[in-house]
Amino acid sequence: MKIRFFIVILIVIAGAMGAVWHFGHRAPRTDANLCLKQAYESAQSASYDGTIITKVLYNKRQVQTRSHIYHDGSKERVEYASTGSTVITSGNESRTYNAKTRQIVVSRIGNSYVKSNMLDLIRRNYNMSAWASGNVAGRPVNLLEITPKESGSPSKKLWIDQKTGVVLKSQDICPMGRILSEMEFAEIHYPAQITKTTFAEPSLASAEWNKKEEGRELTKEQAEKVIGRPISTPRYIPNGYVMDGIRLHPCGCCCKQDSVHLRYTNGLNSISVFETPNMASCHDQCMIHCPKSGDCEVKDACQACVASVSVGNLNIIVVATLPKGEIEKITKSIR
Amino acid sequence: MRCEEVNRLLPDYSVGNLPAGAELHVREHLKTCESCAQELKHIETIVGFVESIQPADPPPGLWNGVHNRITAPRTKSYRWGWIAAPRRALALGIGAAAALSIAFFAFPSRDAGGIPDPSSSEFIMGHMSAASHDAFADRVGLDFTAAIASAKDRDQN
Repeated sequence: MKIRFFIVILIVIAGAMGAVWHFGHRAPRTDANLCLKQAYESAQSASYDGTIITKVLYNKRQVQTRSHIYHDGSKERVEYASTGSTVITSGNESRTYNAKTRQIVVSRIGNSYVKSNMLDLIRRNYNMSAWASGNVAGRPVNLLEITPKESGSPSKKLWIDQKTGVVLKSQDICPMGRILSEMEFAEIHYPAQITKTTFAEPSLASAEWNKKEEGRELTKEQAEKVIGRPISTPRYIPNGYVMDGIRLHPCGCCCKQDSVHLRYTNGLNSISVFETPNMASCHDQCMIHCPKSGDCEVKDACQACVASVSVGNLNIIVVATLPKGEIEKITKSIR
Repeated sequence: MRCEEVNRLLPDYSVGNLPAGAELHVREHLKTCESCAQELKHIETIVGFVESIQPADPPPGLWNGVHNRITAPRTKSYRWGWIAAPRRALALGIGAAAALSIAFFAFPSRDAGGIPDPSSSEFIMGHMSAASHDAFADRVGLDFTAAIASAKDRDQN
């Protein structure tokens, strides 16, 4: 009888100790929606500068770069140490200056319906949880985990500065669990140390620089003019994705033919459909070897799956970070 | 340039990813610093080794063989006695490690392929460039990948 009594007492004590340990060590939960909103708003209002270490998968290898970022409200300047390029964003326009190629790429940032409803779209398509998670760059952070409700899309982890809402670290994770890209602030200073020249164009002899424009938003009519026929939209798009507009994609190949870029997004992941007029006379030169009309060919890449199909006189390329089967389904639905 | 700074730049230098100025500084430093030159040699050897490995199928039945040997009851007629057992285990271990290495390089995971061809990579770059303007996008990572993909494209063309 006594032994039984002691065993029960021991079990009760062990249980109590376990409960104390569990609740004592568990990081307190934070409101994930609030975290998301805080991070979204800080991207448009915060002022900081700092050094970022970025690791990406490229050609089966992890490549690392160090860059310096100056961010002030809607203005941003990123200087890349290893590629020698500088990206300056101001309002709805982003300019990439590449000293090696002497090229300036001007891209327009769409201001569509999707952009103004981005948070709702993310909440609709992703599950979120957040909790306090130590320090990044010497600042206390909340870790926000965002995982897709439908399997197949990548998930995301954001380490958000508890005081300012700035994303100090982020990871994009493939459905297979591999980290696709990771960025982390090595150091950050609030507010940004900016001068008059921080967001100004780098001083360059403009005559020697090539300028390329991309991402200009097009109406359906303008897009049809570019490709010379009605645009072909996929009949199948995975759940949760909405149209994010039609843009111009200046194409260096295909006898300098521009492409039309149809974009779909679920808030964090996107699907691109590029449509380019197929000119038989320069098919070999342009290096796009689409299979015969109606067939679909899918290739894997680090960053995304690529599928191509030929429909009538159009070359259609679908790019997305989704499982091969899904890409195939989207591509085959384009007629 | 100091050695630790050069060491940090060596991986990018070995694949030609440094801007012209930095590349020149590293090259000058390597001429006079034996330890950094040795470090570069190591990096190049590893990269060269990985690239030189030809994909090969692991021998059929290897895993079953390993499994059977592990789970089989120990027979009394053990020819070489207790001295031979560790050697066999070692040989099996080396064989398994070799098979694992071959399998690792021969069957990379699904999401770790390369950029398929120049035409595709151009569209991947377009896709990433548009994605870099999304909320919460890793802009630095996307722009950086687009920049190195574009550099590789130029080299291939």
